[in-house]
Amino acid sequence: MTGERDWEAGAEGPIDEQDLRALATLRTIVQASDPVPSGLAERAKFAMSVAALEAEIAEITTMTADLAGVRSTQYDRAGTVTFSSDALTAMITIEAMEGGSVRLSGWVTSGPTHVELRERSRTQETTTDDAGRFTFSSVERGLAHLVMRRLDDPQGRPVITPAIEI
Amino acid sequence: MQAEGGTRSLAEQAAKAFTDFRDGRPDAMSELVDSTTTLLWHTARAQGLTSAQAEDVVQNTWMLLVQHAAGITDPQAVLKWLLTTTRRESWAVMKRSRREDAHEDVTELVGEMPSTADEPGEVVVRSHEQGVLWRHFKDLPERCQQLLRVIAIAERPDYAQVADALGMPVGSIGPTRGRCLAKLRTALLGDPGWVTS
Repeated sequence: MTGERDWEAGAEGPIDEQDLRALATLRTIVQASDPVPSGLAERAKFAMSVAALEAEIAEITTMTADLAGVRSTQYDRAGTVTFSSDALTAMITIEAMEGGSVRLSGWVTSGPTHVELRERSRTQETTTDDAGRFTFSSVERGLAHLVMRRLDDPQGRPVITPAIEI
Repeated sequence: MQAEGGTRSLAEQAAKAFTDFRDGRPDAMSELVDSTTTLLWHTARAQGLTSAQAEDVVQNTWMLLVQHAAGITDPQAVLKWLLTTTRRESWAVMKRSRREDAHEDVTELVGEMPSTADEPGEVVVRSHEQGVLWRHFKDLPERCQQLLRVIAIAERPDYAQVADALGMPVGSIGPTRGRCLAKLRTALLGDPGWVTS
């Protein structure tokens, strides 16, 4: 039986192996009992992009039938996806190319638009052509967002898409 | 995602990522989110939030960092800023949900905060050692449970900063053991089931 005083004296002592063992055991229990929800960090990053841009978030309005079934989380595995917002509507197609790279091509309904592709570790940008089309010929696998800014409305808010799984 | 070698404190990693971000490398912020979200999650959960509430709080904390990035002059303080903001936002959520529960008296939330939103049945205990630990852990005062639950997820060089951000008095933990860990240690060492397992 240990007295009340024992722990009070122990409070001034340095952290030792028993403490670390207790904390390691507690860590295992906490991690197993209360795991961080999958995708929380990615959702936080998206929220941060929107906060930084003060952007309008586009909604996913349609996607190809064979892809609809894999819409398991807030993210969407892409094929052909249509986004819409008050400012514009955009459709993108994602194709796997030979050699493992991925090509993303798209079309924006509004006038000339600056398109930014935010991948995990880099950002690419382009501008739509006269027909409203744009292409990124080499895209990383993983989650990505598109940020679109209408060039004919420089004061307008940018539009950001939810993360799509490429 | 993890620190190379695992020796650098999270506070230092966070400081470096934040500095890089301010120097014009936007993906550094992404690294900061990857390395720190786990600790923020457990901070929010330790304040007694449900999973859904904790998710909102963690996301809000990151959004607030974006909005306040310019005001953080010392990158070394970023981890503490994130933890403090998480705790403060968690309190605000608790206060609101209590008000919705028609509780009038919300003047002193700190002491009466439940240590965890876990139902007992949700706790995963996989070994005898874990069972013994958990039993003694649950006997600790609630403030100690809140602290140690987050400390257990943190790296040792960050203990003092984590405790400080959680509103614990200086010396609560790190470099010395502190009262909460001392209580737990004494209870464990008095339990043959811990000593021999």
